[in-house]
Amino acid sequence: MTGFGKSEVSLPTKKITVEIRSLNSKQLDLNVKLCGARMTTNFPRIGGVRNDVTELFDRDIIRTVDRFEKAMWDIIDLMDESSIIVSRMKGVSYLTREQCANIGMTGPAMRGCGVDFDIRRDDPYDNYDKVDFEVPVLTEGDSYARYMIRIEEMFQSCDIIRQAVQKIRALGKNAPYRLKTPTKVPAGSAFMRMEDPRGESLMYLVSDGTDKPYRLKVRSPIFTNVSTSKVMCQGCRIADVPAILAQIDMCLGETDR
Amino acid sequence: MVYTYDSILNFINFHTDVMSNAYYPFENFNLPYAVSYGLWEIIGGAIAWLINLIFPGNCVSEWLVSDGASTLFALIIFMLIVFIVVFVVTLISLWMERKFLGRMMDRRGTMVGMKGFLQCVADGLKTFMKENTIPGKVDRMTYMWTVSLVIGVSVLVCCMVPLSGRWYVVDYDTGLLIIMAFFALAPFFILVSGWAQNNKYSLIGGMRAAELMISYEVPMLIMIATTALLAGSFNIGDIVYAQNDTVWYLIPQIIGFITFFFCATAESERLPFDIAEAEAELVEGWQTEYAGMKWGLIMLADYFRGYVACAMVTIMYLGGWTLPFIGDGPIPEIVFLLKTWFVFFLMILVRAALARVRPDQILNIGWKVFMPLSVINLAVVLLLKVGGVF
Amino acid sequence: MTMKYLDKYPKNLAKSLWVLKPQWAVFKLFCKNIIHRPVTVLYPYEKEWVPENYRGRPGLRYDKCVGCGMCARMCPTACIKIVDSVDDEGKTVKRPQVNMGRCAMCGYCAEYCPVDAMTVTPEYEIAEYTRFDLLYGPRRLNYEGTTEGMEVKLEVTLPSDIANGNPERRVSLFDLDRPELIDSKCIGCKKCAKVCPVNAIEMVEKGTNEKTGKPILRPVIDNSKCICCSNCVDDCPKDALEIKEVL
Repeated sequence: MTGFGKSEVSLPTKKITVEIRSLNSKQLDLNVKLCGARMTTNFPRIGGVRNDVTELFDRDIIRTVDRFEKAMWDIIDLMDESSIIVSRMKGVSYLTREQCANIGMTGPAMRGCGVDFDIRRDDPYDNYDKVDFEVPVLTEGDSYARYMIRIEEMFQSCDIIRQAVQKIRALGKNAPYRLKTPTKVPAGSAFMRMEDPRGESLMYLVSDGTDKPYRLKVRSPIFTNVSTSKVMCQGCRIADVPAILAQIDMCLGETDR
Repeated sequence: MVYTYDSILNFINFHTDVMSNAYYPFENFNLPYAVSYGLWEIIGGAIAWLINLIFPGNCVSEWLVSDGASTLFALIIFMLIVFIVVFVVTLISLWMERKFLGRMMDRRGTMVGMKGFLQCVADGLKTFMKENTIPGKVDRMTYMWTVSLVIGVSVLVCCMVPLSGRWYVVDYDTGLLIIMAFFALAPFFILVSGWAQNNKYSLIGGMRAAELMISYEVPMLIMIATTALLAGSFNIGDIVYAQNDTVWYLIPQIIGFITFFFCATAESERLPFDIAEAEAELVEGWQTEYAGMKWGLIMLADYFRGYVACAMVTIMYLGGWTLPFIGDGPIPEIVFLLKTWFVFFLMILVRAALARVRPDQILNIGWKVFMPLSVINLAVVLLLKVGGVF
Repeated sequence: MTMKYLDKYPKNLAKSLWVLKPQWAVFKLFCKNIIHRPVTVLYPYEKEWVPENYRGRPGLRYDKCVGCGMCARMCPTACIKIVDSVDDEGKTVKRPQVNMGRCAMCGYCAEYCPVDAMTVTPEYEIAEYTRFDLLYGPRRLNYEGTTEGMEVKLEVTLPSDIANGNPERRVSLFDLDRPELIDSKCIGCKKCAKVCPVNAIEMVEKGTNEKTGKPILRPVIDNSKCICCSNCVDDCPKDALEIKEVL
């Protein structure tokens, strides 16, 4: 959710920036109630999560999600109803399906060009096969299509969150939240890929039998998406470049994990 | 030697009618001139009395309170008063922008000092105290002269806008045209200053600003001609009183109002048309190499031009300084200023809501949308005039 | 599941100047902000509310701490050092000292403290003028008003419990793992008994050496006192002790 917020506001409208930041702060408040810090949550642990859900947390989540959806319609009012922003994104930087597959782009930008693949649906991890959601795919392949995909994914995320909260409520009070894992791991390797808001990220772990890993590689999706900017910017004006580069949500600190 | 004591009241003739002065420069009653004349009578009389105390019976004291010298000094103070009033009005509109823009974005605006007003003054002082650096390779003469001309012309235009029937600098028959002519001088100086800075980004920024302004002046001129057609003359007083007799020109020229409003935002280089400054693509456009006080004055000149644009909108469409059924109220200056600030509030609303338009789209809109609209407006007014309504 | 947004948009914005709706939305927000206050929090006159388990600076309860050094071992920025400190009765004990300049406020020290002496506190305004003032000694780490919610409990569920059909049981991480002795490597140097912070190791005679006639000492660990801080495992010169994990 917040990845979208920071990306789309490179089209300079200060009002939208401020609204998205105030939404972001409501979500950070949720983080504080659960794990004690706004951004550096430190929540996942090997074997589960850091602590159990605090009291009345499900009520807070549902409230925040409702407020978020309402505010999202306001923001869409500001962005989609304003022909200035739409005309800056429509018809800019077309990408075909083959180009997309060749340059290795993943994530919402890929789905905006017509490639129908989402790891959460096709190769489910965590518990994504137990919740019910739709994956938006558009075939136009221009900047506006990628923007629309991101917004639709935000609404789908709200649905996923509501279903997850219902399932957690059904679990009961003392359901396990963290399993005990051995510190000495047998030798071998493990590979895992996940669907980030920006694309597909991977983790690769090799252990040699002691309690310290031999190799751990984390690759974030920006690493491959950065090189797609060259293809995406061909044929566009300089004034289009912020709108294009924001689509892939470049965070260069994450490139170099 | 007999020492005669000349009382100070010999030198201060406070209650004379200002218009009975042989050298009175205006035709009607002029409020700031009356105030400045009164001020000079007090100040000049005091100085003359002081000199007379030291050197009794000298001619300098008599000259200081004579008719011709009074007019001269009163005119100097008059210039100061007009400039200070305009400056304060612009500062108030700058304060209004910061506060209202803040509230529209769900935050408070400036908070320090009298609800935030003194923050603008503090910012001005800060830019004043910065070091005045001039880059080595610029064309020095053009660099300094163009920025002075941009600012000077903006302030000149600001002072020429009359605030009411009795607050004017010159009452001339082609008032609106002269204001527009000076307003339109700015793109030339911006272009030359962009060139003078020896920086390719400034050159591009200057060219873009100049092309924006030039292409948006054409609809503005057409609409000024339309208003003058409807009112019958270019004189600002005539236009305002014509609106007082009939209806405010907002109603027959609604298309004209909207078009002129957007052209005015474009001319003042505000969002959504601010490709010349505050840019992620060019560094600061044509203002890149200006440091310290010059940059501060350029920013202020932007707000001066915004004020002039709003004032023109008020004069031409919203009835100037008259109230709908009353005519000239007790303080027409305040009415005029309130209307101008209301139009400025609309400009702030537009700035808060819309994103920046791409430069080629700006030119598209200017030529392909606004110019036909202004011609349509002219056609509507012609029909009304021929039909005998106005 | 319907696609709420994609069904409504995109409309065909054929007119190139349709900008009215954003202005109406902004105007509504403006009117709302004139009447109510904006979302700005006027720091430092107003502060945001923080809950109990907010991860501010770490806090120490002096009397509960045993000086095991688990916090120093777990700290990712190496900001905790175990120093000597004089407690209320005049004895010299080992307590942690935190360098707040390096502290990342991650909460690992509170999480891995076996006796829950380290807690998180909601205090975050700890700026000082010199770097020396940022070294928080053991007494200064104390936080008035430490409550139950400020402790971070480390409770896990054992996979064996889940397999046995008892998934609700949660144990603390330090209650089950205990060190185990490899008898062949031990030389009876008594180092483990000296290092143990809770005195859970007792050296017991297990026979006599034939050559020198001295008794052979072996450590015996009292399972009820041990807090699994692995000090003895780290200090044994022959690596004769290792933690046996109960899964």
